[in-house]
Amino acid sequence: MTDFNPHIVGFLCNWCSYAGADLAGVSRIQYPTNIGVVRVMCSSSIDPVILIETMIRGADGVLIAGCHPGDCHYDTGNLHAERRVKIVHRLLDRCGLEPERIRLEWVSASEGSRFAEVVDNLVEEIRELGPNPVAGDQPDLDILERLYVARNVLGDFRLNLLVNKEHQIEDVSNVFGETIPKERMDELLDTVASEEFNRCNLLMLARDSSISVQQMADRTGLPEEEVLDHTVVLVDRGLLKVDRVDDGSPLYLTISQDRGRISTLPAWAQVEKRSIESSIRNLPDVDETTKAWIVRELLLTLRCHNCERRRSDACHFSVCIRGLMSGVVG
Amino acid sequence: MSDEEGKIGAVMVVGGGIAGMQAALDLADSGYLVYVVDSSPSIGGAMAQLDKTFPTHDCAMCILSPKLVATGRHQNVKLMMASDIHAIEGKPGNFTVFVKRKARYVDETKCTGCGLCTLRCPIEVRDEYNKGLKLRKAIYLKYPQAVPPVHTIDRDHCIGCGVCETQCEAGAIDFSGEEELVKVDVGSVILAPGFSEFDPRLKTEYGYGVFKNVLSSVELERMLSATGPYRGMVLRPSDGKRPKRMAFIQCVGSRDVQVGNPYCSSVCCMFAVKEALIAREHTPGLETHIFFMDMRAFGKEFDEYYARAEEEHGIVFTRNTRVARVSQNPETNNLYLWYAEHGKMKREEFDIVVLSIGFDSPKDVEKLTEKLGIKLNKHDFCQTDMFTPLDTSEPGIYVCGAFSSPKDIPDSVAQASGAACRAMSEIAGARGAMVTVKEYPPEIDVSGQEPKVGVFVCHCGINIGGVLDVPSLAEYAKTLPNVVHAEDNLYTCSQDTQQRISETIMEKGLNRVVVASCTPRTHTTIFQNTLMEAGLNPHLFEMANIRDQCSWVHMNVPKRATKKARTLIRMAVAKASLLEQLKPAEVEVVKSALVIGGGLSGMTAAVELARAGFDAHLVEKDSELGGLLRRIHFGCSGEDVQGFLERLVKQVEDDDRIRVYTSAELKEVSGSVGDFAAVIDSDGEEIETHQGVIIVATGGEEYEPTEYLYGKDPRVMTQLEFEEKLVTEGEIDAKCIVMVHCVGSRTTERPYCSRVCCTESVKNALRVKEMNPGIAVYSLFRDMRTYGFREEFYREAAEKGVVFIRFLEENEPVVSIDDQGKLEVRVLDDILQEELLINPDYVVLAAATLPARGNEELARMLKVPLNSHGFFLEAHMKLRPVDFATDGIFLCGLAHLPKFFEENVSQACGAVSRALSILSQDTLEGEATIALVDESMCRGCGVCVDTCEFGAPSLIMLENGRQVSHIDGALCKGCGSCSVSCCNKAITMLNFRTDQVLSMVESCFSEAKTPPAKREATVVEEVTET
Repeated sequence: MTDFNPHIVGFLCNWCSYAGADLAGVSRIQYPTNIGVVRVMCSSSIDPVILIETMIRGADGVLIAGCHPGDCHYDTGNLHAERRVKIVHRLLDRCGLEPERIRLEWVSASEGSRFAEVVDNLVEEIRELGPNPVAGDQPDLDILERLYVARNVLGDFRLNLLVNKEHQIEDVSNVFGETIPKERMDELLDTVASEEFNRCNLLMLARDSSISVQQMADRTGLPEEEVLDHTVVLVDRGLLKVDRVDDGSPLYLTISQDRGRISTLPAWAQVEKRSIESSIRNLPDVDETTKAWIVRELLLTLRCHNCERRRSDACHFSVCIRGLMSGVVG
Repeated sequence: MSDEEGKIGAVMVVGGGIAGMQAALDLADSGYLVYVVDSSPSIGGAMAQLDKTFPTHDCAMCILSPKLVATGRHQNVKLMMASDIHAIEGKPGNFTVFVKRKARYVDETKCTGCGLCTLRCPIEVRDEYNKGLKLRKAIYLKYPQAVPPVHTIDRDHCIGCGVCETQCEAGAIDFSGEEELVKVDVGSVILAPGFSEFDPRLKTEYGYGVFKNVLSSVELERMLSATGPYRGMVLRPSDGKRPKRMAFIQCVGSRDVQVGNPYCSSVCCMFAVKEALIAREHTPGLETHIFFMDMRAFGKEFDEYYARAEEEHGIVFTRNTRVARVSQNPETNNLYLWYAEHGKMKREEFDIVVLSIGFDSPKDVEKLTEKLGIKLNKHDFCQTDMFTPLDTSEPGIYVCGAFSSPKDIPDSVAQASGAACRAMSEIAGARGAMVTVKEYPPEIDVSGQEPKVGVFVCHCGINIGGVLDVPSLAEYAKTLPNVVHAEDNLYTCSQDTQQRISETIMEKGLNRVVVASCTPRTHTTIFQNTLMEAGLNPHLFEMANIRDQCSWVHMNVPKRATKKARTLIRMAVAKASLLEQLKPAEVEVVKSALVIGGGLSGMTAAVELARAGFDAHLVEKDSELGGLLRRIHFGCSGEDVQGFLERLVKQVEDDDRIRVYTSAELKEVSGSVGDFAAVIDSDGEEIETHQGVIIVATGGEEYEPTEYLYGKDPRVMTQLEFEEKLVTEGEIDAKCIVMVHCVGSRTTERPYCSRVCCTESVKNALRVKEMNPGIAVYSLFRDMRTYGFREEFYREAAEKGVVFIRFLEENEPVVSIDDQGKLEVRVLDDILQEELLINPDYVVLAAATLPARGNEELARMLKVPLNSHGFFLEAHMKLRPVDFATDGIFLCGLAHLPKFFEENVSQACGAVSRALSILSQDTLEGEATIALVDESMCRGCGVCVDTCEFGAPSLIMLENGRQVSHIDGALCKGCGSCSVSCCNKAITMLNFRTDQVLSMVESCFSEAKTPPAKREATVVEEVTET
């Protein structure tokens, strides 16, 4: 893998780390060209969803750099960032992707040489890890699928709320004027991340055709009783329904109108997809994989006319169609 | 230009250090034109040399550089670098100042700061900024982040070879430059020339300049800095090895009559603790020792910092000693420190020694003062008066920062704001007269238009063009989606190119502009201005940083660097296509201030507000004004405090602009900066009022001791009670008096230092000696914290026979009553190591200063924080000492921290100055790039409220009864944290919308992921055919 040149996206906070990167330039400290920098106002403004999306889009590594603790221009933004990155690490691990690919560093405005070192070091580390398995023309669909699950987990209320309340509850005070020990919060976050990951995974499985608890357990490797528990919660939340009962076991189907969480194509895009599919159906000398690829690429060039300005209810992002690749690829 | 009285709405600030910059920014924000004069080629002063700041270990450059940029870019600030005051004429409100500008030999309007000239300059000179530990060239920039980023030829060393001129693509070098005399008309002058470092060579016994491993504390600071000579490593100058044992010697050039500096330099104790901690962080296994007489940790959180340094970080403190001399082991270049401890001489070996050098008055101070006619005190610092600490002896000329007395950064900043307040109230009528508001053409509405992006790629001379293939980048940009125009320029930031950009926008109907050049941190505002001149919203602009983060850091791989630049441009264009026009929220400002607390600080604030032409509503909880000041009768030099108080109260009560509410308290506050709605309960009557800003000056109170028989025996009293007794009785019937320091301060329960009580005790001891020199006075103290010029009173007291006895925390004195009914004090003298027995007639306790009762409730009401001791917590301990993180609310006086009379006055004026930057505007423009809530998606969970440090989001009830979050645009700082925290993605961070960020991420790879061209072509053809 010596000729592997990793693609790294850097999110740098405007006040410390971006200034540190500038100082590396002023001091002419050389580092590899592998990093493309996105300037953000604060390391806390990087949504975990964006980090997962960045991996889905094929980044081999991500650098998030903010002010040293205590130096934050917005007081505590960097501490929020730390907690958010931690949760992304937990989820990446579940996806089968090395958490080391996403790295959080503190770089001050006077640490030009440190910025260069961090980039050097990260490029080396990513080189050793090898390319992101979901990048390129033949992505690892299992991992990709799981990354979508992770993204859906982060889009959900439960984990998000806990991550963002963690600082308040752990360091300041909860509503009873108490603080909860760090270990307990860590444990809770681990449990919730795991539960929600499994639940989103189940919703994915039951998206296209109805499926039994037994089958879900087989596909996920989870114990049946746990799957059953999850289905109960999901049915209660109105995300899953019993489609029909077959052979005495109920078959579950994801309720499709909950468009906020599940990656399904909005209606207009379904139409586009069908028209593209029909137009290439009779192409000679093109195998099925290539056809799927063509459909995906063409869909990517489309722009959502509903939500160019703002998010519609149908998807998280105005470039929502891009979040739906798994539906097309899979 | 001037108002009806002929006053001029401009101020000259002499000195561009942190104090000078703060004063300049406050004045410029309040509608005055400011000239900043500094003899150095760039602003920044001493703070620019620091690595970290105590006690928070903030990176100095991180917090300073936004101020540098703000000062350098402010349209109402004119920088006059490498300049000195030559002469001054006129009267307050109308001065003419002649400024002598040295030739820089570089045209400030043309130099882009690229630094090519320095690369080829053959002359190497010891770099003053790095204390000679590094070399610079004869044409140079003082430090990498210097503002203005203009190079200077050092005529003393330049040999005139002319190479720099051949290298400068901007044509900025001008050898014909000559010193010029510039005439400037101003209404007021502020002096902030700072200090100069004491020359440690004068302390020959420490061997500085002779022994290589003896450093000054400023040299160590440069070593610790990542931009210093060894990139943050501490190395012994003699052999380049990492030291193992480091000693700090305190008071080098301070508290030293022999070298002519009898005063205390105030900052060196904390400075040494900080350096000792950071040096240990940077050097594994380093032992650090600090040798000192008294640890002067009198500031906010300082004592806690000192304690942590000792207990948690293992810094070794050797107290109560002045190192006698340093000698060197000639073989190892190690150093021996000779010092006395408990009366015995000791010798200890170290491999590096740091001298904590003190403050001298600024260089050439006599010349400056001679020209201005102001008086100096006997230490050659600026003479000020206790009651008017910001005024020099010349009316219309004000002072701040270390020039008025040695002080740390937050005190300098607060004082700088204070001086700005004094300077502007003098010329209040001429506010806005000298500043021009730039007129722009009406904004073109581009919403709904297809994006039409123009890309301008800069060569920056050869800074970019020498590495990257710039013309190919412009060609490449033309192929990107939405790009309708792309070109390359020699200097995109030059005046003529900006003109071109403006014309191109109008000609080609561009509605988004991308500039690929240097860093957006310094250049965004320049180009945004260009957009506005062409009628575009300034937020339709994006930069690609292809210099600082590309050509400069990939100089040896031009092809790859060009490829990366293509990526950066692609990312910028992608984001640009999604940019939208933004309008900042506007709030109409109520031209009135609410001042909470009617003591010295509150009354000073009210009077200054009125002087500046604004209404003040003063709320005092007691039935009369004066607060704690009513109990203070005289100053250290015998100043008549009660007489002053009487005049101040009269001034407050007589002023039509000031409305006083006594026996009153705040009931309720809502709203935000520009328009707070406050309900005041005054004697049971509820008054509702609207205020633009709020100043918190709730003061403090004296601790009522439970120690030392206080309250049980009438002969035991506090210093304030004793002062009352001295004044009312006029004489004192006693043979012996014992004073005990730190009563209720620096304890486990109350770990902070009350700052004023050492001096207060010395003051009263002196008064006793003055009344009757025969009375024996014993002062039992832990550390004598008579910082600054107060050290003189301490010395005077010692000379007059006051006996100072040091005790340690663990050996507190014991006060009892013996069998004859006499008071008896037992104390273990730490120096003699002997227990002393004293039978005094009175025991006087230096009781702690406590925060005002009711601070908690007020803090809750205003949604501002308190520290763990109950004092209010400012927005930033270093650079925003009188601001709260919440805009429009300020603090001053004892509400912030116990402090002296003159410090309270300075801070009160400082709070007013900060308030004036708001009150002087009719409407307040908030940030344009803020977070917005989509109410239809919000479920009102309130997570965003917890995330925000600035109180911008709050939960409101909609008419339909649904609870949703609402973000106050005036309070939002635009960090974007809340938008991430939102569980329903109902919050959008403008200008950093998720889709905008993702579009950049996407285009970061899109080239790499483009499939083979043939395949793509086939697909497109096939699809269009069917």
